[in-house]
Amino acid sequence: MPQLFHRGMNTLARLSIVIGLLVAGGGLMFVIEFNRTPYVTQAFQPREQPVQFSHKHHVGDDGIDCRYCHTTVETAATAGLPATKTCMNCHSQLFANSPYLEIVRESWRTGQPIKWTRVHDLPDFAYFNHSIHVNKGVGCSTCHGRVDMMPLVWNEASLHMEWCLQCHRNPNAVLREQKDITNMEWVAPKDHAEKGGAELAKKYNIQPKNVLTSCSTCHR
Amino acid sequence: MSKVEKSKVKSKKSKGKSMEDILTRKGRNSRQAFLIFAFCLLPFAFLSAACRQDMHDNPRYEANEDGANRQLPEGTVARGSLDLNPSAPKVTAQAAPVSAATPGVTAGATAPAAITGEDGFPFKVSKEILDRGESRYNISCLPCHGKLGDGNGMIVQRGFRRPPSYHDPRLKAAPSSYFYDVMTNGFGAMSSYTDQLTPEDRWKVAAYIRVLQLSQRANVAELGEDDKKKITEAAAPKTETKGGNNAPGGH
Ligand code: HEC
Ligand code: HEC
Ligand code: HEC
Ligand code: HEC
Ligand code: HEC
Ligand code: HEC
Repeated sequence: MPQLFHRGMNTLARLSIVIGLLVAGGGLMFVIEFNRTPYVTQAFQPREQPVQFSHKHHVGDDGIDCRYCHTTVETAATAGLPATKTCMNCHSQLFANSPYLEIVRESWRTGQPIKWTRVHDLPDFAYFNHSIHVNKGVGCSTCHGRVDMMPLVWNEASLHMEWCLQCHRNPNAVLREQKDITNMEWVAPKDHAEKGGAELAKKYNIQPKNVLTSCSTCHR
Repeated sequence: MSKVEKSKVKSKKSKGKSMEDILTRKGRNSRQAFLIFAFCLLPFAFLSAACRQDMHDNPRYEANEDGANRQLPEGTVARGSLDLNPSAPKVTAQAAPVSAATPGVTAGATAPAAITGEDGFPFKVSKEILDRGESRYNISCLPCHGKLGDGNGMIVQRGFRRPPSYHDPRLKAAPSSYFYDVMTNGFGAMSSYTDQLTPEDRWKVAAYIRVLQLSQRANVAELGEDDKKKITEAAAPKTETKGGNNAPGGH
């Protein structure tokens, strides 16, 4: 049989294998990294809401505590969104004729709750619980960022499993006293993980790493 | 040297198959070649996985699923909120607002043995209870009533109706159950706080209001040494109350 290809083609054939593998590997890396970008996770993207409710005004300027509105954050899995009545506590008088609040007043008249656009939404196969985090000293701003500076809420984290795990492997660094739970300005002091954080971990009786990273903790 | 020969030489040299062997051999190892091909397709499998949503949104209904706070249907009582304190005096909407002028209440109110547990509290008042009361007060009441209870909170400064100060003689004389009543049923421009505070927390807030009232009329002689020093230090430059309106979550 006469040779079909020039001998140099051998090198080319081998090279193409290497290049093919590189492209495949690169493609894989791209997909994985792409999944982590805010473009896919929708982190840092403010969501439009039916009412222009601003945490910056209510929390940042007026100093209302998170738990005034998110009442169940310490006792239940969900932080809870406020009922229309909670808004009316103040807006029955304040800005009572503001057009921005028409939807709130309509909801109050009809009894139909306001339908907010969800910002955070874990997949249903992952179990998350606010109360354990809050009661064991993980503050709102650790996970949600400076909400008091957000005119419209965005998501500060990817909410990927790796995000949960990087903290569950060593939560000491973020633990705070109960009085600071909703403090938006709290930052961990230097060497917190070894000193103050470690003490708090003992006080809160934080479970060991193998429990916190076991699959059935979050997939139950 | 032909390709086949070359690879034969190689496989003699090393017993284990190198990657190159596998890939350059024609025909023989089509199974391995297929595996490698499949491996190269793997990235696309990951791509398609990202599109599966059925496990992300199970048919079950979750709290806040449609972004709305679901209201209690009329006539229903949330679990655990009925008769939480059977021992507590029943305070109803009909309970007449107490003023110092109302005969009958003044008797109990002249000596408000506030923090001893004899003032109608369904529990013995302790430090834990007062701490809880303080934190709940700062969350729910501070925006309007202010840190000291003088009625000068941030929301009032923004134009809300100004509530009376807790240091008003009429409110000092009122029994603690009156505060519970205001929280439960609302009062004038102030709405009810039943859905933000459990009955137990409402009592604890009432206990804390008693502390606030005491704090503004404490007898210096009864204070401990530390507090005395603080007062003498603070008295010098201070004329107005330092109405810090910072909620814990605030600035
Ligand atoms: C005056 C009431 C009020 C206060 C106080 C308040 N929130 Fe909110 N919060 C809301 C409302 C209403 C929404 C729903 C609309 C939206 O997402 O902007 C919301 C939404 C959120 C969300 C996004 C929920 C989602 O859909 O995933 C987060 C996170 C949040 N709040 C955190 C906080 C934190 C942290 C604080 C305290 C620093 C706080 N909130 C204080 C009323 C309040
Ligand atoms: C504790 C009192 C309080 C509560 C509760 C409250 N607000 Fe407000 N709201 C304010 C104040 C004070 C302002 C003015 C903010 C500023 O300018 O600093 C305001 C401003 C607003 C505005 C802008 C109005 C305008 O015309 O500019 C909107 C919209 C609004 N609030 C929506 C809401 C919604 C929705 C809720 C319920 C989740 C709510 N508020 C609960 C006190 C409150
Ligand atoms: C350990 C991280 C973490 C901490 C701490 C935390 N959150 Fe969240 N929060 C989340 C996650 C994750 C979600 C999404 C939950 C879901 O989709 O089921 C969420 C959702 C929410 C929501 C949307 C409604 C809901 O309940 O799903 C609100 C409101 C909220 N958080 C407020 C708060 C407030 C207020 C605090 C502080 C008192 C707080 N969070 C502390 C991680 C956290
Ligand atoms: C910033 C740190 C932090 C982040 C981020 C975080 N957690 Fe946690 N988590 C904790 C701490 C601290 C505890 C308390 C551990 C204990 O109970 O001793 C905890 C406890 C839990 C528990 C209860 C464990 C038990 O024993 O029942 C669950 C479930 C959980 N986390 C799920 C999640 C999920 C899901 C996410 C991601 C969406 C997440 N957490 C993100 C710090 C964190
Ligand atoms: C700290 C909580 C936590 C623990 C522990 C945990 N997971 Fe997850 N897992 C999550 C969350 C949250 C998600 C959802 C991530 C997302 O939305 O991208 C998830 C998603 C997944 C997915 C689906 C990934 C996808 O892209 O759809 C798999 C598979 C999974 N986890 C397996 C595991 C296994 C196996 C373990 C034990 C080794 C484990 N998880 C331990 C929180 C956890
Ligand atoms: C949105 C602002 C606001 C908040 C928050 C608020 N109040 Fe009030 N409160 C008022 C106003 C305004 C009045 C005066 C009502 C009137 O005279 O019409 C008042 C009056 C009162 C009175 C006096 C009633 C009387 O006899 O004069 C008491 C006691 C009281 N509030 C307790 C509380 C407690 C306890 C809380 C926290 C659970 C609280 N308030 C939260 C605005 C508020």
